[in-house]
Amino acid sequence: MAEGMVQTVYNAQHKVPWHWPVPAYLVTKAIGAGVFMVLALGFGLHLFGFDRETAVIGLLVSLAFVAITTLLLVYDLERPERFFSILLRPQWKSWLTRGAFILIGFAVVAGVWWLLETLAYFGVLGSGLADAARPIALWTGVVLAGGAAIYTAFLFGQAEGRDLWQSSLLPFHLIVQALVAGSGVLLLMDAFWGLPESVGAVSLIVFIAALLVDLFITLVGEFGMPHASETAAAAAHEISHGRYRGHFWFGSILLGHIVPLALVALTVLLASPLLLVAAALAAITGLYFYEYVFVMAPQEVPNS
Amino acid sequence: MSAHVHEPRSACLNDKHAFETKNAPYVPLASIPRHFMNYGFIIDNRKCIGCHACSTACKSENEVPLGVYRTWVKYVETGVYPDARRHFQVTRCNHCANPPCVRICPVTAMYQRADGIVEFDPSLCIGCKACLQACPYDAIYIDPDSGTAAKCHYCSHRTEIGLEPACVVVCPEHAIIAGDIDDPSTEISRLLATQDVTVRKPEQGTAPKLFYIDGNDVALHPTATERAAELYVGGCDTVACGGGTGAEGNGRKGGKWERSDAEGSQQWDGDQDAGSAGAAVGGADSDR
Repeated sequence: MAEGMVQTVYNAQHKVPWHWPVPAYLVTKAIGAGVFMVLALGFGLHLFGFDRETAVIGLLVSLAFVAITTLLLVYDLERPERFFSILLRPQWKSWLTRGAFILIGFAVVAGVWWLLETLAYFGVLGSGLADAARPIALWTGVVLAGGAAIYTAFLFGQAEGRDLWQSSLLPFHLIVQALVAGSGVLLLMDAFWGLPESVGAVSLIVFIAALLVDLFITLVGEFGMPHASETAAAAAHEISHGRYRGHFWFGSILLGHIVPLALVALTVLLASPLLLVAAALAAITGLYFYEYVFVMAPQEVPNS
Repeated sequence: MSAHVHEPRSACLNDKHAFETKNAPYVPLASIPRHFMNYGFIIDNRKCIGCHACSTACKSENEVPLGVYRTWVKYVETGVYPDARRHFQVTRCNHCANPPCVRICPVTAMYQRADGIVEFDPSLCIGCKACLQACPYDAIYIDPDSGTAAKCHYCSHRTEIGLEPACVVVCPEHAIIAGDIDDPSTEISRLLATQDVTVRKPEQGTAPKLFYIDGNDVALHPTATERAAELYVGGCDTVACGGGTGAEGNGRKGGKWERSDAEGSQQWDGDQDAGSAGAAVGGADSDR
Protein backbone atom coordinates (compact mmCIF):
# COMPACT_ATOMS: atom_id res chain seq x y z
CA MET A 1 0.00 0.00 0.00
CA ALA A 2 1.26 3.45 -0.81
CA GLU A 3 2.26 5.62 2.10
CA GLY A 4 -0.28 8.28 2.95
CA MET A 5 -3.23 6.52 1.37
CA VAL A 6 -5.52 7.85 4.08
CA GLN A 7 -4.31 10.31 6.65
CA THR A 8 -5.55 13.05 8.91
CA VAL A 9 -3.31 16.00 8.19
CA TYR A 10 -4.91 18.80 10.15
CA ASN A 11 -6.94 18.64 13.30
CA ALA A 12 -7.35 20.19 16.72
CA GLN A 13 -6.14 18.07 19.56
CA HIS A 14 -7.30 17.91 23.12
CA LYS A 15 -5.65 17.71 26.47
CA VAL A 16 -5.92 14.57 28.54
CA PRO A 17 -8.33 15.72 31.26
CA TRP A 18 -7.58 13.35 34.13
CA HIS A 19 -4.10 12.54 35.36
CA TRP A 20 -2.50 10.90 38.43
CA PRO A 21 -4.94 12.25 41.05
CA VAL A 22 -7.75 10.10 39.62
CA PRO A 23 -5.94 6.74 39.83
CA ALA A 24 -4.59 7.83 43.22
CA TYR A 25 -8.13 8.58 44.36
CA LEU A 26 -9.23 5.13 43.19
CA VAL A 27 -6.52 3.52 45.34
CA THR A 28 -7.19 5.58 48.48
CA LYS A 29 -10.93 5.01 48.10
CA ALA A 30 -10.32 1.29 47.73
CA ILE A 31 -8.28 1.31 50.95
CA GLY A 32 -10.83 3.37 52.87
CA ALA A 33 -13.74 1.18 51.78
CA GLY A 34 -11.78 -2.08 51.88
CA VAL A 35 -10.46 -1.77 55.45
CA PHE A 36 -13.98 -1.04 56.64
CA MET A 37 -15.52 -3.92 54.66
CA VAL A 38 -13.04 -6.53 55.87
CA LEU A 39 -13.32 -5.45 59.51
CA ALA A 40 -17.09 -4.96 59.50
CA LEU A 41 -17.80 -8.20 57.69
CA GLY A 42 -15.36 -10.01 59.97
CA PHE A 43 -17.10 -8.64 63.07
CA GLY A 44 -20.58 -9.00 61.64
CA LEU A 45 -20.20 -12.52 60.31
CA HIS A 46 -18.20 -13.57 63.39
CA LEU A 47 -15.18 -14.48 61.29
CA PHE A 48 -13.25 -13.03 64.21
CA GLY A 49 -14.32 -11.76 67.58
CA PHE A 50 -15.00 -8.09 68.18
CA ASP A 51 -11.98 -6.21 69.45
CA ARG A 52 -12.50 -2.56 70.34
CA GLU A 53 -8.89 -1.53 69.85
CA THR A 54 -8.84 -3.06 66.37
CA ALA A 55 -12.12 -1.31 65.56
CA VAL A 56 -10.83 2.06 66.77
CA ILE A 57 -7.57 1.84 64.82
CA GLY A 58 -9.13 0.25 61.74
CA LEU A 59 -11.96 2.77 61.51
CA LEU A 60 -9.50 5.62 61.97
CA VAL A 61 -7.37 4.31 59.10
CA SER A 62 -10.47 3.91 56.94
CA LEU A 63 -11.61 7.45 57.72
CA ALA A 64 -8.14 8.83 57.04
CA PHE A 65 -8.11 7.30 53.56
CA VAL A 66 -11.62 8.55 52.85
CA ALA A 67 -10.39 12.01 53.83
CA ILE A 68 -7.39 11.68 51.48
CA THR A 69 -9.80 10.52 48.77
CA THR A 70 -11.85 13.67 49.24
CA LEU A 71 -8.74 15.85 49.15
CA LEU A 72 -7.63 14.24 45.88
CA LEU A 73 -11.08 14.78 44.38
CA VAL A 74 -11.04 18.44 45.32
CA TYR A 75 -7.44 18.85 44.19
CA ASP A 76 -8.31 17.56 40.75
CA LEU A 77 -10.97 20.23 40.22
CA GLU A 78 -10.05 23.21 38.09
CA ARG A 79 -12.15 25.33 40.44
CA PRO A 80 -11.67 23.63 43.82
CA GLU A 81 -13.20 26.57 45.70
CA ARG A 82 -16.53 25.61 44.14
CA PHE A 83 -16.45 22.08 45.52
CA PHE A 84 -19.45 22.68 47.77
CA SER A 85 -21.60 23.31 44.71
CA ILE A 86 -21.94 19.55 44.42
CA LEU A 87 -23.68 19.54 47.78
CA LEU A 88 -25.57 22.80 47.41
CA ARG A 89 -26.98 22.38 43.90
CA PRO A 90 -26.64 18.70 43.10
CA GLN A 91 -27.60 17.20 39.74
CA TRP A 92 -28.83 13.84 40.89
CA LYS A 93 -28.41 11.95 37.65
CA SER A 94 -24.65 12.42 37.85
CA TRP A 95 -22.71 9.65 39.55
CA LEU A 96 -20.23 12.30 40.64
CA THR A 97 -23.00 13.76 42.78
CA ARG A 98 -24.29 10.41 43.91
CA GLY A 99 -20.76 9.29 44.72
CA ALA A 100 -20.08 12.42 46.74
CA PHE A 101 -23.14 11.77 48.87
CA ILE A 102 -22.29 8.08 49.22
CA LEU A 103 -18.80 9.03 50.42
CA ILE A 104 -20.27 11.54 52.87
CA GLY A 105 -22.75 8.98 54.13
CA PHE A 106 -20.03 6.40 54.55
CA ALA A 107 -17.78 8.87 56.37
CA VAL A 108 -20.60 9.91 58.71
CA VAL A 109 -21.53 6.33 59.64
CA ALA A 110 -17.90 5.23 60.02
CA GLY A 111 -17.12 8.44 61.92
CA VAL A 112 -19.99 8.05 64.40
CA TRP A 113 -19.11 4.40 64.95
CA TRP A 114 -15.45 5.27 65.46
CA LEU A 115 -16.37 8.03 67.90
CA LEU A 116 -18.57 5.77 70.00
CA GLU A 117 -15.98 3.00 70.10
CA THR A 118 -13.19 5.48 70.88
CA LEU A 119 -15.13 7.10 73.71
CA ALA A 120 -15.90 3.65 75.08
CA TYR A 121 -12.28 2.57 74.68
CA PHE A 122 -11.02 5.49 76.75
CA GLY A 123 -13.80 5.10 79.31
CA VAL A 124 -15.38 8.46 78.55
CA LEU A 125 -18.62 6.74 77.64
CA GLY A 126 -19.97 3.43 78.85
CA SER A 127 -19.74 0.62 76.33
CA GLY A 128 -23.53 0.18 76.29
CA LEU A 129 -24.16 2.84 73.66
CA ALA A 130 -21.35 1.61 71.44
CA ASP A 131 -22.55 -1.99 71.78
CA ALA A 132 -26.10 -0.98 70.90
CA ALA A 133 -25.12 1.12 67.92
CA ARG A 134 -22.59 -1.35 66.56
CA PRO A 135 -24.85 -3.68 64.54
CA ILE A 136 -26.58 -0.73 62.89
CA ALA A 137 -23.36 1.12 62.13
CA LEU A 138 -21.64 -2.05 60.99
CA TRP A 139 -24.22 -3.20 58.46
CA THR A 140 -25.17 0.28 57.28
CA GLY A 141 -21.47 0.96 56.90
CA VAL A 142 -20.89 -2.20 54.89
CA VAL A 143 -23.54 -1.15 52.39
CA LEU A 144 -22.14 2.38 52.16
CA ALA A 145 -18.55 1.14 51.92
CA GLY A 146 -19.59 -1.12 49.05
CA GLY A 147 -21.30 1.84 47.43
CA ALA A 148 -18.19 3.97 47.91
CA ALA A 149 -16.08 1.27 46.31
CA ILE A 150 -18.24 0.72 43.22
CA TYR A 151 -19.90 4.05 42.44
CA THR A 152 -16.91 4.97 40.26
CA ALA A 153 -17.88 2.13 37.93
CA PHE A 154 -21.17 3.89 37.26
CA LEU A 155 -19.41 7.25 36.90
CA PHE A 156 -17.07 5.71 34.35
CA GLY A 157 -20.13 4.21 32.68
CA GLN A 158 -21.47 7.74 32.20
CA ALA A 159 -18.19 8.77 30.56
CA GLU A 160 -19.40 7.76 27.13
CA GLY A 161 -16.34 9.15 25.43
CA ARG A 162 -14.17 6.39 26.93
CA ASP A 163 -15.52 3.06 25.80
CA LEU A 164 -13.08 0.93 27.78
CA TRP A 165 -14.45 2.36 31.01
CA GLN A 166 -17.92 1.09 30.21
CA SER A 167 -17.16 -2.39 31.42
CA SER A 168 -19.93 -4.38 33.03
CA LEU A 169 -17.24 -6.12 35.08
CA LEU A 170 -16.17 -2.88 36.69
CA PRO A 171 -18.46 -2.80 39.77
CA PHE A 172 -17.35 -6.31 40.74
CA HIS A 173 -13.74 -5.48 39.88
CA LEU A 174 -13.77 -2.42 42.14
CA ILE A 175 -15.15 -4.44 45.05
CA VAL A 176 -12.39 -7.01 44.61
CA GLN A 177 -9.78 -4.25 44.38
CA ALA A 178 -11.15 -2.77 47.62
CA LEU A 179 -10.77 -6.15 49.31
CA VAL A 180 -7.17 -6.44 48.06
CA ALA A 181 -6.31 -2.96 49.28
CA GLY A 182 -8.25 -3.23 52.55
CA SER A 183 -6.85 -6.62 53.55
CA GLY A 184 -3.37 -5.47 52.48
CA VAL A 185 -3.53 -2.46 54.78
CA LEU A 186 -4.81 -4.67 57.61
CA LEU A 187 -1.76 -6.91 57.07
CA LEU A 188 0.42 -3.79 57.39
CA MET A 189 -1.41 -2.79 60.56
CA ASP A 190 -0.96 -6.30 61.89
CA ALA A 191 2.79 -6.12 61.28
CA PHE A 192 3.25 -2.73 62.93
CA TRP A 193 0.41 -2.68 65.48
CA GLY A 194 -0.20 -6.29 66.26
CA LEU A 195 -3.86 -6.99 65.57
CA PRO A 196 -5.52 -10.06 67.13
CA GLU A 197 -4.29 -13.23 65.49
CA SER A 198 -7.68 -14.12 64.02
CA VAL A 199 -7.95 -10.72 62.33
CA GLY A 200 -4.55 -11.18 60.73
CA ALA A 201 -5.42 -14.70 59.59
CA VAL A 202 -8.72 -13.67 58.01
CA SER A 203 -7.05 -10.66 56.37
CA LEU A 204 -4.43 -12.92 54.84
CA ILE A 205 -7.07 -15.28 53.44
CA VAL A 206 -9.04 -12.36 52.00
CA PHE A 207 -5.83 -10.89 50.57
CA ILE A 208 -4.88 -14.11 48.75
CA ALA A 209 -8.37 -14.83 47.48
CA ALA A 210 -8.97 -11.26 46.32
CA LEU A 211 -5.60 -11.12 44.56
CA LEU A 212 -6.36 -14.32 42.63
CA VAL A 213 -9.84 -13.14 41.67
CA ASP A 214 -8.47 -9.73 40.68
CA LEU A 215 -5.83 -11.35 38.49
CA PHE A 216 -8.51 -13.46 36.81
CA ILE A 217 -10.83 -10.51 36.22
CA THR A 218 -8.00 -8.42 34.83
CA LEU A 219 -6.46 -10.93 32.46
CA VAL A 220 -9.46 -13.00 31.45
CA GLY A 221 -12.27 -10.50 31.86
CA GLU A 222 -11.03 -6.99 31.10
CA PHE A 223 -8.34 -7.89 28.58
CA GLY A 224 -9.07 -11.46 27.48
CA MET A 225 -12.54 -10.77 26.13
CA PRO A 226 -12.98 -8.96 22.80
CA HIS A 227 -14.10 -5.36 23.12
CA ALA A 228 -17.33 -4.09 21.70
CA SER A 229 -15.98 -0.95 20.04
CA GLU A 230 -12.80 -0.07 18.21
CA THR A 231 -11.97 2.73 20.65
CA ALA A 232 -12.23 0.33 23.59
CA ALA A 233 -10.08 -2.17 21.70
CA ALA A 234 -7.53 0.54 20.90
CA ALA A 235 -7.32 1.58 24.55
CA ALA A 236 -6.96 -2.04 25.69
CA HIS A 237 -4.25 -2.53 23.08
CA GLU A 238 -2.38 0.53 24.37
CA ILE A 239 -2.45 -1.05 27.82
CA SER A 240 -1.44 -4.58 26.92
CA HIS A 241 0.83 -3.95 23.92
CA GLY A 242 1.28 -0.19 23.54
CA ARG A 243 2.85 2.62 25.47
CA TYR A 244 1.42 1.40 28.81
CA ARG A 245 2.51 -2.21 28.48
CA GLY A 246 5.35 -1.70 30.97
CA HIS A 247 3.04 -0.18 33.56
CA PHE A 248 0.57 -3.00 32.99
CA TRP A 249 2.73 -6.10 32.81
CA PHE A 250 5.51 -5.11 35.22
CA GLY A 251 3.58 -2.73 37.45
CA SER A 252 0.15 -4.26 37.72
CA ILE A 253 0.51 -7.94 36.88
CA LEU A 254 4.02 -8.71 38.11
CA LEU A 255 4.43 -6.28 41.01
CA GLY A 256 0.76 -6.11 41.92
CA HIS A 257 -0.17 -9.78 41.72
CA ILE A 258 2.62 -12.28 41.06
CA VAL A 259 5.11 -10.79 43.53
CA PRO A 260 2.64 -10.52 46.44
CA LEU A 261 1.39 -14.06 45.87
CA ALA A 262 4.97 -15.34 45.72
CA LEU A 263 5.86 -13.45 48.90
CA VAL A 264 2.84 -14.90 50.68
CA ALA A 265 3.94 -18.37 49.58
CA LEU A 266 7.44 -17.66 50.89
CA THR A 267 5.97 -16.62 54.24
CA VAL A 268 4.84 -20.21 54.76
CA LEU A 269 8.49 -21.30 54.45
CA LEU A 270 10.27 -18.43 56.17
CA ALA A 271 7.58 -17.21 58.60
CA SER A 272 8.79 -13.64 58.35
CA PRO A 273 6.18 -10.88 58.87
CA LEU A 274 8.29 -8.56 56.73
CA LEU A 275 7.41 -10.67 53.71
CA LEU A 276 3.73 -9.94 54.29
CA VAL A 277 4.53 -6.26 54.64
CA ALA A 278 6.34 -6.37 51.31
CA ALA A 279 3.46 -8.33 49.76
CA ALA A 280 0.88 -5.79 50.90
CA LEU A 281 2.96 -2.83 49.73
CA ALA A 282 3.56 -4.50 46.35
CA ALA A 283 -0.14 -5.22 45.88
CA ILE A 284 -1.15 -1.64 46.69
CA THR A 285 1.57 -0.21 44.45
CA GLY A 286 0.49 -2.58 41.68
CA LEU A 287 -3.09 -1.44 42.15
CA TYR A 288 -1.99 2.13 41.48
CA PHE A 289 -0.24 1.02 38.29
CA TYR A 290 -3.40 -0.72 37.13
CA GLU A 291 -5.62 2.28 37.90
CA TYR A 292 -3.12 4.55 36.17
CA VAL A 293 -3.19 2.67 32.88
CA PHE A 294 -6.93 2.11 33.09
CA VAL A 295 -7.55 5.84 33.58
CA MET A 296 -4.96 7.14 31.13
CA ALA A 297 -5.10 4.84 28.10
CA PRO A 298 -8.74 5.42 27.09
CA GLN A 299 -8.18 9.18 27.25
CA GLU A 300 -5.46 8.89 24.62
CA VAL A 301 -7.70 7.40 21.97
CA PRO A 302 -8.89 10.28 19.77
CA ASN A 303 -12.57 11.09 19.61
CA SER A 304 -12.41 13.57 16.76
CA MET B 1 -28.82 32.13 2.84
CA SER B 2 -30.56 30.10 5.47
CA ALA B 3 -33.70 32.01 6.10
CA HIS B 4 -34.88 30.28 9.20
CA VAL B 5 -33.76 32.88 11.67
CA HIS B 6 -35.06 36.05 10.14
CA GLU B 7 -37.96 34.89 8.09
CA PRO B 8 -41.49 35.75 9.13
CA ARG B 9 -42.80 32.72 10.90
CA SER B 10 -46.52 33.28 10.65
CA ALA B 11 -46.87 32.26 7.03
CA CYS B 12 -45.30 28.90 7.45
CA LEU B 13 -45.99 27.72 10.93
CA ASN B 14 -47.58 24.41 11.48
CA ASP B 15 -50.59 23.92 13.69
CA LYS B 16 -48.54 23.61 16.83
CA HIS B 17 -47.41 27.20 16.43
CA ALA B 18 -50.50 28.69 14.90
CA PHE B 19 -52.20 29.87 18.06
CA GLU B 20 -49.12 31.86 18.95
CA THR B 21 -48.80 33.78 15.73
CA LYS B 22 -51.95 33.76 13.65
CA ASN B 23 -52.65 37.48 14.12
CA ALA B 24 -49.10 38.68 13.69
CA PRO B 25 -47.65 39.49 10.26
CA TYR B 26 -44.11 39.21 11.53
CA VAL B 27 -42.81 37.29 14.50
CA PRO B 28 -39.20 37.85 15.49
CA LEU B 29 -37.44 34.67 16.40
CA ALA B 30 -36.67 35.89 19.87
CA SER B 31 -40.34 36.19 20.73
CA ILE B 32 -41.19 32.59 19.90
CA PRO B 33 -41.23 30.37 22.95
CA ARG B 34 -38.08 28.31 22.91
CA HIS B 35 -39.84 25.07 23.64
CA PHE B 36 -41.20 25.22 20.12
CA MET B 37 -37.70 25.14 18.68
CA ASN B 38 -35.29 22.31 18.17
CA TYR B 39 -32.04 23.72 16.89
CA GLY B 40 -29.55 21.77 14.85
CA PHE B 41 -26.82 22.18 12.27
CA ILE B 42 -26.18 20.83 8.82
CA ILE B 43 -22.66 20.91 7.45
CA ASP B 44 -22.79 20.60 3.69
CA ASN B 45 -19.48 19.02 2.71
CA ARG B 46 -20.29 19.51 -0.95
CA LYS B 47 -19.74 23.21 -0.40
CA CYS B 48 -17.12 23.45 2.36
CA ILE B 49 -13.78 24.75 1.07
CA GLY B 50 -11.91 24.35 4.37
CA CYS B 51 -11.23 28.06 4.74
CA HIS B 52 -11.49 28.11 8.57
CA ALA B 53 -13.66 31.20 8.47
CA CYS B 54 -16.09 29.46 10.82
CA SER B 55 -13.26 28.64 13.24
CA THR B 56 -12.02 32.21 13.35
CA ALA B 57 -15.49 33.75 13.51
CA CYS B 58 -16.28 31.53 16.48
CA LYS B 59 -13.02 32.49 18.15
CA SER B 60 -13.77 36.15 17.67
CA GLU B 61 -17.46 36.05 18.56
CA ASN B 62 -17.00 34.02 21.72
CA GLU B 63 -13.54 35.29 22.72
CA VAL B 64 -12.20 31.76 22.76
CA PRO B 65 -8.65 31.68 24.21
CA LEU B 66 -5.62 30.44 22.31
CA GLY B 67 -5.10 26.68 22.26
CA VAL B 68 -8.74 25.66 22.58
CA TYR B 69 -11.50 25.47 19.98
CA ARG B 70 -15.26 25.44 19.84
CA THR B 71 -15.27 24.60 16.16
CA TRP B 72 -12.50 23.65 13.80
CA VAL B 73 -11.96 22.10 10.38
CA LYS B 74 -10.41 18.66 10.19
CA TYR B 75 -8.50 17.78 7.03
CA VAL B 76 -8.27 14.19 5.84
CA GLU B 77 -6.40 13.25 2.69
CA THR B 78 -7.10 10.15 0.64
CA GLY B 79 -5.43 8.68 -2.37
CA VAL B 80 -1.96 9.09 -3.80
CA TYR B 81 -0.74 11.90 -6.05
CA PRO B 82 -1.95 12.65 -8.65
CA ASP B 83 -5.16 10.92 -7.62
CA ALA B 84 -5.40 12.50 -4.19
CA ARG B 85 -8.22 14.34 -2.50
CA ARG B 86 -8.55 16.42 0.63
CA HIS B 87 -11.76 16.10 2.66
CA PHE B 88 -12.92 18.80 5.07
CA GLN B 89 -14.99 18.23 8.15
CA VAL B 90 -16.25 21.07 10.31
CA THR B 91 -16.20 19.65 13.81
CA ARG B 92 -17.96 20.93 16.94
CA CYS B 93 -20.54 20.15 19.60
CA ASN B 94 -23.34 18.04 18.13
CA HIS B 95 -25.99 19.51 20.46
CA CYS B 96 -27.12 15.96 21.08
CA ALA B 97 -30.76 15.29 21.82
CA ASN B 98 -29.50 12.83 24.42
CA PRO B 99 -26.40 14.60 25.72
CA PRO B 100 -24.12 12.55 27.99
CA CYS B 101 -22.29 15.70 29.09
CA VAL B 102 -25.49 16.99 30.69
CA ARG B 103 -26.13 13.71 32.50
CA ILE B 104 -22.68 13.51 34.04
CA CYS B 105 -22.39 17.15 35.12
CA PRO B 106 -22.71 17.17 38.91
CA VAL B 107 -23.87 20.78 39.24
CA THR B 108 -26.09 21.52 36.20
CA ALA B 109 -23.39 23.72 34.70
CA MET B 110 -23.90 21.80 31.46
CA TYR B 111 -27.56 21.77 30.55
CA GLN B 112 -29.98 21.33 27.70
CA ARG B 113 -32.22 24.24 26.90
CA ALA B 114 -35.82 23.89 25.85
CA ASP B 115 -34.83 24.89 22.33
CA GLY B 116 -32.43 21.96 22.04
CA ILE B 117 -29.20 23.90 22.50
CA VAL B 118 -26.75 22.21 24.85
CA GLU B 119 -25.53 25.19 26.85
CA PHE B 120 -23.05 25.70 29.67
CA ASP B 121 -22.88 28.08 32.61
CA PRO B 122 -19.29 28.98 33.57
CA SER B 123 -20.49 30.55 36.80
CA LEU B 124 -21.55 27.12 38.06
CA CYS B 125 -18.85 24.85 36.63
CA ILE B 126 -16.48 23.32 39.19
CA GLY B 127 -14.00 22.12 36.58
CA CYS B 128 -14.33 18.40 37.31
CA LYS B 129 -13.80 17.62 33.58
CA ALA B 130 -16.34 14.81 33.68
CA CYS B 131 -18.18 16.33 30.71
CA LEU B 132 -14.97 16.10 28.68
CA GLN B 133 -14.90 12.39 29.43
CA ALA B 134 -18.58 11.98 28.61
CA CYS B 135 -18.47 13.67 25.21
CA PRO B 136 -17.76 11.09 22.47
CA TYR B 137 -16.86 13.91 20.07
CA ASP B 138 -14.06 15.83 21.84
CA ALA B 139 -16.24 18.91 21.66
CA ILE B 140 -15.68 20.24 25.17
CA TYR B 141 -12.58 21.88 26.60
CA ILE B 142 -11.49 23.59 29.78
CA ASP B 143 -11.17 27.32 29.29
CA PRO B 144 -7.60 28.14 30.37
CA ASP B 145 -8.68 31.55 31.63
CA SER B 146 -11.69 30.59 33.72
CA GLY B 147 -10.89 26.94 34.51
CA THR B 148 -14.41 25.97 33.48
CA ALA B 149 -15.84 23.78 30.72
CA ALA B 150 -16.81 25.42 27.46
CA LYS B 151 -17.87 24.45 23.93
CA CYS B 152 -20.01 25.53 21.01
CA HIS B 153 -23.25 26.90 22.45
CA TYR B 154 -24.90 27.63 19.13
CA CYS B 155 -24.12 31.31 19.71
CA SER B 156 -27.17 31.32 21.95
CA HIS B 157 -26.56 34.98 22.81
CA ARG B 158 -27.08 35.76 19.11
CA THR B 159 -29.84 33.25 18.51
CA GLU B 160 -31.91 34.71 21.33
CA ILE B 161 -32.04 38.10 19.60
CA GLY B 162 -32.83 36.70 16.19
CA LEU B 163 -29.33 36.41 14.76
CA GLU B 164 -27.69 33.37 13.30
CA PRO B 165 -24.59 31.77 14.83
CA ALA B 166 -21.40 33.56 13.83
CA CYS B 167 -20.08 30.59 11.86
CA VAL B 168 -23.23 30.54 9.72
CA VAL B 169 -23.01 34.22 8.92
CA VAL B 170 -19.35 34.15 8.01
CA CYS B 171 -19.30 31.00 5.86
CA PRO B 172 -18.64 32.14 2.28
CA GLU B 173 -20.10 28.99 0.78
CA HIS B 174 -23.25 28.63 2.84
CA ALA B 175 -21.95 25.27 3.92
CA ILE B 176 -23.26 25.64 7.47
CA ILE B 177 -27.01 25.68 7.85
CA ALA B 178 -28.56 26.32 11.24
CA GLY B 179 -32.15 26.29 12.28
CA ASP B 180 -35.16 24.57 13.75
CA ILE B 181 -35.13 20.97 12.57
CA ASP B 182 -38.73 20.47 13.70
CA ASP B 183 -40.12 23.29 11.60
CA PRO B 184 -40.81 21.97 8.10
CA SER B 185 -40.50 25.44 6.61
CA THR B 186 -36.85 25.94 7.52
CA GLU B 187 -34.01 25.31 5.12
CA ILE B 188 -32.38 22.84 7.49
CA SER B 189 -35.58 20.89 7.76
CA ARG B 190 -36.03 20.80 3.99
CA LEU B 191 -32.45 19.63 3.53
CA LEU B 192 -32.90 16.92 6.15
CA ALA B 193 -35.98 15.77 4.28
CA THR B 194 -34.35 15.66 0.86
CA GLN B 195 -30.65 14.91 1.34
CA ASP B 196 -28.76 11.90 2.61
CA VAL B 197 -27.13 12.91 5.84
CA THR B 198 -24.93 11.20 8.36
CA VAL B 199 -23.78 11.90 11.90
CA ARG B 200 -20.69 11.14 13.94
CA LYS B 201 -20.79 7.95 16.03
CA PRO B 202 -24.50 7.17 15.80
CA GLU B 203 -23.82 3.98 17.78
CA GLN B 204 -23.28 6.07 20.91
CA GLY B 205 -27.00 6.72 21.13
CA THR B 206 -26.53 10.43 21.72
CA ALA B 207 -28.80 11.47 18.84
CA PRO B 208 -26.54 14.18 17.42
CA LYS B 209 -28.25 17.16 15.82
CA LEU B 210 -25.28 18.08 13.68
CA PHE B 211 -25.76 16.40 10.33
CA TYR B 212 -23.27 16.09 7.48
CA ILE B 213 -24.22 16.07 3.84
CA ASP B 214 -21.66 14.07 1.91
CA GLY B 215 -19.92 13.08 5.14
CA ASN B 216 -16.70 11.21 4.56
CA ASP B 217 -16.27 7.93 6.41
CA VAL B 218 -12.62 8.34 7.26
CA ALA B 219 -13.15 11.90 8.44
CA LEU B 220 -16.09 10.87 10.58
CA HIS B 221 -14.18 8.03 12.27
CA PRO B 222 -11.29 9.39 14.32
CA THR B 223 -9.48 6.08 14.58
CA ALA B 224 -9.65 5.36 10.87
CA THR B 225 -6.61 7.32 9.79
CA GLU B 226 -2.94 7.72 10.27
CA ARG B 227 -2.13 11.05 11.87
CA ALA B 228 0.62 13.49 11.12
CA ALA B 229 0.72 15.02 14.56
CA GLU B 230 3.22 17.75 13.80
CA LEU B 231 0.56 19.45 11.70
CA TYR B 232 -1.99 19.47 14.48
CA VAL B 233 -3.23 22.57 16.13
CA GLY B 234 -2.66 22.67 19.84
CA GLY B 235 -0.12 22.31 22.60
CA CYS B 236 1.80 19.14 23.24
CA ASP B 237 -0.27 18.32 26.29
CA THR B 238 -2.54 16.52 23.93
CA VAL B 239 -3.64 13.15 22.74
CA ALA B 240 -1.67 13.45 19.52
CA CYS B 241 1.50 14.45 21.28
CA GLY B 242 1.29 11.73 23.87
CA GLY B 243 -0.27 13.33 26.87
CA GLY B 244 0.38 10.48 29.26
CA THR B 245 3.17 10.57 31.75
CA GLY B 246 5.10 13.32 30.07
CA ALA B 247 8.20 11.20 30.38
CA GLU B 248 8.37 10.51 26.67
CA GLY B 249 8.73 14.16 25.81
CA ASN B 250 7.77 15.14 22.33
CA GLY B 251 8.40 11.79 20.76
CA ARG B 252 5.25 9.86 21.25
CA LYS B 253 5.77 6.18 21.80
CA GLY B 254 2.56 4.60 20.76
CA GLY B 255 0.39 3.26 18.04
CA LYS B 256 -1.58 4.59 15.17
CA TRP B 257 -4.47 3.48 13.10
CA GLU B 258 -3.73 2.97 9.48
CA ARG B 259 -5.22 1.43 6.40
CA SER B 260 -3.53 -1.81 5.67
CA ASP B 261 -4.80 -2.60 2.22
CA ALA B 262 -6.54 -1.17 -0.77
CA GLU B 263 -9.92 -2.48 0.42
CA GLY B 264 -9.70 -0.19 3.36
CA SER B 265 -9.47 -2.67 6.18
CA GLN B 266 -7.85 -1.22 9.26
CA GLN B 267 -5.32 -2.55 11.63
CA TRP B 268 -4.04 -1.29 14.91
CA ASP B 269 -0.31 -0.88 14.83
CA GLY B 270 0.27 -0.44 18.51
CA ASP B 271 4.03 -0.58 18.51
CA GLN B 272 4.75 2.14 16.03
CA ASP B 273 6.81 5.03 17.22
CA ALA B 274 5.44 8.27 15.90
CA GLY B 275 8.89 9.71 16.23
CA SER B 276 9.05 13.45 16.49
CA ALA B 277 5.34 13.92 16.59
CA GLY B 278 4.42 17.29 17.94
CA ALA B 279 7.94 18.61 18.01
CA ALA B 280 6.90 21.85 16.44
CA VAL B 281 4.06 22.71 18.73
CA GLY B 282 5.58 23.20 22.14
CA GLY B 283 6.75 21.32 25.17
CA ALA B 284 5.22 18.19 26.56
CA ASP B 285 3.95 18.45 30.09
CA SER B 286 0.83 16.50 30.46
CA ASP B 287 1.15 15.68 34.13
CA ARG B 288 0.66 18.18 36.82
